[in-house]
Amino acid sequence: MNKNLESQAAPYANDLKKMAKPRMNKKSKTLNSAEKQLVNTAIKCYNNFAKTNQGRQVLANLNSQPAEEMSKNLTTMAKSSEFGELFALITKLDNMVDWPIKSVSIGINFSIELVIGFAGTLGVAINPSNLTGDTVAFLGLGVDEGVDEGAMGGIQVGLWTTEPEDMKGWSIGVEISVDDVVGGTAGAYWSFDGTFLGIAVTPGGGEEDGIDVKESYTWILANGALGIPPIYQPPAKHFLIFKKIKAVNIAGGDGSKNEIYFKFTPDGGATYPYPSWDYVSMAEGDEWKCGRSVRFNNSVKVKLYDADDGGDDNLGEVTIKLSDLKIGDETTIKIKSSHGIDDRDFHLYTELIY
Amino acid sequence: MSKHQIQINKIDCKGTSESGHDEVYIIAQADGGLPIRYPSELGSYNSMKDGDSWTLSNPNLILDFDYEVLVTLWDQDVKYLPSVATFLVNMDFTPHAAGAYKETLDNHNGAKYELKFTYIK
Repeated sequence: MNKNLESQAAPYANDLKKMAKPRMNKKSKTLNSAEKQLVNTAIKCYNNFAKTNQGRQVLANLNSQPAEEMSKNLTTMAKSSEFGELFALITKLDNMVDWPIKSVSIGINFSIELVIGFAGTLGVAINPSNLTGDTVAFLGLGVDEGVDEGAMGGIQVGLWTTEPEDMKGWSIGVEISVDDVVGGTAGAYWSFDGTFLGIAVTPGGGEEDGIDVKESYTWILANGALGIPPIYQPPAKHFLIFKKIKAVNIAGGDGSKNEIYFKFTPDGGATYPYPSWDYVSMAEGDEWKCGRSVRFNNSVKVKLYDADDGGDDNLGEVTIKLSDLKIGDETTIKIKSSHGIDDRDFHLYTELIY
Repeated sequence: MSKHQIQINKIDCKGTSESGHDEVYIIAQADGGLPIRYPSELGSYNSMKDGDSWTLSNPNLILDFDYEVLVTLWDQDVKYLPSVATFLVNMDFTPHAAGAYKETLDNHNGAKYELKFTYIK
């Protein structure tokens, strides 16, 4: 599961809940021989890519990266030589498919739970007639009551009738008969006005990964970014506030500053940086009223950093246990580190709310 | 229904993080939950230089919370690419008596902003 993606996609899921869904009619699709060839070649290309060293690395990265980095890795996959066979076949079958293939997408399926469940795909799309061009990143989300919280699904390869930048909007998808697809599942999609949008295949997907009938909304993501930092935290039993950090002792003494940020990891799960990006400059004696809240069950690991162009310095880490804290009390956590002749000392002031 | 409510009424710029203007937007998060961006449209911002005021009235920025709401101000350096945004200042609001207040926040990078806000309940 990718907690970064879950956290970043949650606000989109929340927006989706508020959006008025147009009325859409279920349709069906049977693949012709050329379409079957395309679908099965997409599965073959993915399987070939997954066996390469680069493929293994890319797929491993997708399980933990924030959306911005995932988009880059998905682009690497789309532009890999292993997918060349699919693009060559699209050109070859140009007049044997009765719909134009104006974009090819590669995305990763995932699910999140936000009171209700959502199934989604984060992906990139490219125009098959301009493979050196930029990819367009997108996020598709639909309500799915049967999802597992934070679960990552397989890779999805899509063949679409719309240009990459025109993928935004509502769609309805239905599963294509498994008899037509070897080694995966596939779905066909239409826009709410009944226009055929294309087909998407999930290599390796079992019957339980099929889409059945799915209504979803797709957003185009500028620069591959979800635009929202990974700050949403799922509910937990306890609530702690990091009220402030004091720079008690920093390297260099008077006049020097450390570029401070920290990362916290509740219960060994997702890791949240704060500030979400960038840092706060602190001189010795400074106090930063950071005010970051933390939802946790048993413990929170905190790592403090000094941002540096040559590589960020680890200023120490602590694990705060529930037993270290008392509701309503301020607890000071000391974070110390030694860097040769320099010792650094920061105090983190916390308050357990419940 | 949340126990508390605060409205951020106005932001006065008293210093910027870079020469000229900061392209300011806000991310607020109540009780560790879903973040809110203001202005809501991704990539949008309010350009501010020293002496500028930003009245948050269209729409009003009213935040509901039970325990705290963290408000962070950012300078958008590259449109749609928040990961390279510059952190300006932050303020964590906890329950407080109803009324109008203001607070000046600063950062060693030059950013200095005064927040004017009202505790509604």
